[in-house]
Amino acid sequence: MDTDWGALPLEPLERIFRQLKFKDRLLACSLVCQHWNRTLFCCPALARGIVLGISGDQPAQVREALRASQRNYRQLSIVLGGDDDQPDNGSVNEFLTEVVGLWNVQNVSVVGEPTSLLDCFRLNGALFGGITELSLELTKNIDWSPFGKQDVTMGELKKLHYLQMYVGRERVSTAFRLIVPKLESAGIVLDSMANEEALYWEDPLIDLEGCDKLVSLEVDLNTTMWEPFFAVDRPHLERLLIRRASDEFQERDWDRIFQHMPNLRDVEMVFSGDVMLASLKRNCKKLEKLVLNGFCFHDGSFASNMGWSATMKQLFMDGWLNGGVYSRDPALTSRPWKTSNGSYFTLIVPKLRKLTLRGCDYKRFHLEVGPHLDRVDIDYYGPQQFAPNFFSSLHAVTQLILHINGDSFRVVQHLTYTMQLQRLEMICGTEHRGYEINNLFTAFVKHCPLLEELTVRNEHENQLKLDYEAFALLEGLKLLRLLTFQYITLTNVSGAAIRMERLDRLDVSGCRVQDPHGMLAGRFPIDGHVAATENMEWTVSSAL
Amino acid sequence: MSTIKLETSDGVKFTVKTQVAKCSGTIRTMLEDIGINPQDGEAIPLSNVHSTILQKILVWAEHHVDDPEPPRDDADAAKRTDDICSWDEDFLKVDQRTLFDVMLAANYLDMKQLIAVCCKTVANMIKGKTADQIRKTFNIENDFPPGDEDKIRLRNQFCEERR
Repeated sequence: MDTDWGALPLEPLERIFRQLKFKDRLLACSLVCQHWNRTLFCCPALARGIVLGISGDQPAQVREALRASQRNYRQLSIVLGGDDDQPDNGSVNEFLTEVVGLWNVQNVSVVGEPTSLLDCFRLNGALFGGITELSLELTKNIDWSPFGKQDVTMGELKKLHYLQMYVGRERVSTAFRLIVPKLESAGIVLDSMANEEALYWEDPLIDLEGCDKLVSLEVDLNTTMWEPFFAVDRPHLERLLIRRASDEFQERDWDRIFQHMPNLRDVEMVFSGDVMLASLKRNCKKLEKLVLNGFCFHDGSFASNMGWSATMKQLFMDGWLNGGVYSRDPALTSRPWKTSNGSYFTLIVPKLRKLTLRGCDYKRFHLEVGPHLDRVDIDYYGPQQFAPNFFSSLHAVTQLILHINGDSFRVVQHLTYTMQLQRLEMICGTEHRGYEINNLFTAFVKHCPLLEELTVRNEHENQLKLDYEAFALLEGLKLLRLLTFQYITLTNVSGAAIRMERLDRLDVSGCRVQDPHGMLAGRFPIDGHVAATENMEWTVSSAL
Repeated sequence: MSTIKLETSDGVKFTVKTQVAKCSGTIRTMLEDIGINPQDGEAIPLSNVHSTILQKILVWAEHHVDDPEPPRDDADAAKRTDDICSWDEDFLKVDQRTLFDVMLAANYLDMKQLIAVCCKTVANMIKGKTADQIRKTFNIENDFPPGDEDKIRLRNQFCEERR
């Protein structure tokens, strides 16, 4: 057998290429020999990762070189010019017509204004009729006109990754309507031009009613109302994400909508209200994941509990009973909320695995979550209390992410239980002058003897301060394998370096050590065996 | 303990524990699906593998025979090349000819984990190198007709990575 690396069989060569980053793969490997160059484009898994860019301003010789290539491009990115400034759309269309037969193009992204796009679709029916994936960005508005809108059929399209349309105060139009009978997933963004407040959206840019196979629909409404979106039955829909809807969005017959979507598993909503949630629960028995961004109430009161069946695994709630509250009646928004029984709100989810809470009123937030809850992500910025059973409900949780600020130390008084945490991450993401985290740090290290991973991540450069005495408690965490500190200053060094024998990884970026008495003699504050270190920017200084 | 016989391209016969031989998907298929009966004492012919390479591969299989089934490879895991265990790293500290032959044999024998570490080792040898350096490293002949490299550079300019 000859040792000819240039003739390596496809399968191992493909595997090797898959290990390489784009730059190594394309810029270096494509130039090694003809076999390697061709292989990059004949394995679908590799070719799918390469996008060929085509635009109106490419010189003719570039097109010539692209066309003559033996490469089988599968993805195109097309940038069309406007009517006047770039008259070369014709040459792009001509080029596309020619390459359809040469390449096996499956995924196209197109950027352009509505009429150029319409031309491009019409002139390249063979290309767009055959692709399975599309992304579309409309760069300009044209005047709204309900007449003369043309249907564009893309009969094989399964994924509309991204459809971005700019909307403003004026009524605008896409000039065409997409007919996509095989569509399975769609992501639609109604963006606003130049921060204009968008109000209207009546343009039926896509025939959702004809999409019988739709499984996933993700829409960013940018506070517009887009009624066609709510007017269709989607029997196979499993995933429905609605972002930035206006409050008016709540006022509809939810039962009529949800009863046609019995297969929903993954739902994200804004301004959720009791009526809508009750309807969701009644009609959609397979829900596994629910994201609730903000709450909207009509009569000033919340239901006193929310319960989900055993299918529910992941829950995200923002602004529960605390802020993020909206009502049509201004008098209600200024009034403090109340639950219908005037006291606690209870969340009942027997098989919950992941819980994320933001801006919730923990004082009245009761949990009934069962033993499966494993990962909890909460913010706590003081000074509010926690409901008595909150932390005891979390005693079996193994992973906690806590977003903190200078007042978060108040959580300490609630940590009276030994916790089973294996991973703890404290994140300081709010702009704040640097503060001490001694109490917080000490309490968690003492109450969580099983910690394997500990991260204290300060996301701005005002250093958090940690007293050396608290830091030295780390020696007691016998199972700790991963330690990450970011922008932390160790103060008052009062002893020699601590010993950590089992660390697999240590990452201390932007950290400092204040060692006024020279206890460390300029050495690193952690001794022992550390298998791998990432960022070792731990500046030891003797200055105060 | 049950054993089977394997015969390499150069006619050398190996007696191997069945469990070790079954690290190879190809041999597993022969035994289980096609129904070759090892009790017959007949050696399974491996016409694409030389004895020196099979010997080496059997050392690897012996060491990894109790490894758990590898997880299905997904796109993220595929890009990691720093997770070769130190035993494998030492095992593959061989000349390029042997590395090449082991990789081809592993491919023929359908030994997924061995193919993976071989490919990772080769990928690590390619990373960060220019085309010229790669050709020198692996002694690959530049077979592009004159002018073609410039055309490829031009084409590459218009290629981007998919987000």
